[in-house]
Amino acid sequence: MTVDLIPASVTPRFDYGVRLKHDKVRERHVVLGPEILIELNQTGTAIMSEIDGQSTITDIISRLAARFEVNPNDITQDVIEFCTSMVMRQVLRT
Amino acid sequence: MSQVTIPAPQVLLAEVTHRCPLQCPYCSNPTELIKKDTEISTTDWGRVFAEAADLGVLQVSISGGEPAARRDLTELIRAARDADLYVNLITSGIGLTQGRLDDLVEAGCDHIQLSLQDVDSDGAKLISNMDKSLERKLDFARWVRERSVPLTVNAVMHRLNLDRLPEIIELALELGARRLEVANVQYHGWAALNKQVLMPTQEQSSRTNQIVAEARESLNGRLLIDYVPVDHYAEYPKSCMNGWGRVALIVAPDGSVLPCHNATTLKHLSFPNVRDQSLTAIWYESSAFNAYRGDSWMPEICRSCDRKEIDFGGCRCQALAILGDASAADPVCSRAHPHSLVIATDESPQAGEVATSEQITYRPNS
Ligand code: SF4
Ligand code: SF4
Repeated sequence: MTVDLIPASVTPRFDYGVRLKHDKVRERHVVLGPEILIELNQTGTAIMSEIDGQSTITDIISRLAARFEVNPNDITQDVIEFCTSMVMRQVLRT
Repeated sequence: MSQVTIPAPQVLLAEVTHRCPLQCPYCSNPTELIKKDTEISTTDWGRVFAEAADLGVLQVSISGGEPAARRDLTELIRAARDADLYVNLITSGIGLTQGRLDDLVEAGCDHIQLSLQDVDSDGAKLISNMDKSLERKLDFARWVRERSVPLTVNAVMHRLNLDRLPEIIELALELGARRLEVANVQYHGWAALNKQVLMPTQEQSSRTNQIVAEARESLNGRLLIDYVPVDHYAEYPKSCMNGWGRVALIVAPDGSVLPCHNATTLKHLSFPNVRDQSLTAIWYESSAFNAYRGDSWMPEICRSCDRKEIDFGGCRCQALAILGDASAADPVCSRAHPHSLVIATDESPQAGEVATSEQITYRPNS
């Protein structure tokens, strides 16, 4: 199945019934939703923590770039791919 | 014996009651139903949820029977949310009014999974043994959507309704479900008693695989479809509960704690109860939960098999029921058992033919 990437201009938000949670027992963040339980790594956690329903993917990329002191161009593809996969899994909606 | 590291559980199935207004002949409740007077209290459940969260559980599925048969369902949901668990409600939709649904949503119910017996009113009645059960479910689904609670439709499939799968997929879309579970009946417990009537034909089973594959492709992004194929026609077993004592635990209405739905058929094990012990002690230390962890209990063929981390040797209850040995490789496995042990029974009635309620062994309401 080929997947079209979502454009950076969209504003992602959590899909219905989905939330981010800090899992104290395993010391990591997880996404919880309908039949959804996804363990996030550090990158995933950083991206998901920026989802506020207000910011576009472009905004999120520039905030992450500033926070981790990297060039936005170097992370654009990764962030878009990650957000696309989250939309496919009904974790995020646009 | 190799040391087994025991991961913390992630999922709790809270079977809060076995009572149900419906009588599905494939019900996953045990054939010996637990009675109302031995159900644990609201306070007990509150403690179970809190202990589960401390143990590492992230999601709870509140199921039954029909959970709404408990008058304290709202309090149970609130207690689970207070413990910071993600709360799924698994319901038949029968017995919940709009007012009660409002209370459940307000108490923090995160997601509702509604079971559907059929898209055909008579078919639904034949399975549920209740008039107008389909119509009542459709109303309920609409109320759920009106409250913006995510809805999953769970369709249990068997010989009598498999030919209507395309219509069931359509209906799930119409109801505004984002997910559909197409789950073939697992032939344990009640379903084993009704195998003659419910077991699909091999042809139905392969057609279903195809319909699901096509629908997944064409509905990509609109409806996610989870699919449980008929395991009797599979080459390898499914992993039961993602492995015994690895990911999930079930607390039964009377407080006994089980590694899988049919574990009580394993009479050589005794199952601990939340009235006597903490969930932590039960998960890590009880002999029942440790019985089939790791690979030291496995027959040699599983122990040396590259799929042992995928299916964990399959279902213990089926191994006992069909092979008389709870530690045998799952009877479905073609590697361990080259001559099929689970051939379908003779097919009466045929696919699409109408079965009558006389041919069915219904589960009682309580
Ligand atoms: S009788 Fe049907 S609706 Fe009731 S618990 Fe069993 S399967 Fe679910
Ligand atoms: S031999 Fe055992 S581990 Fe291998 S596929 Fe069969 S049941 Fe699974």
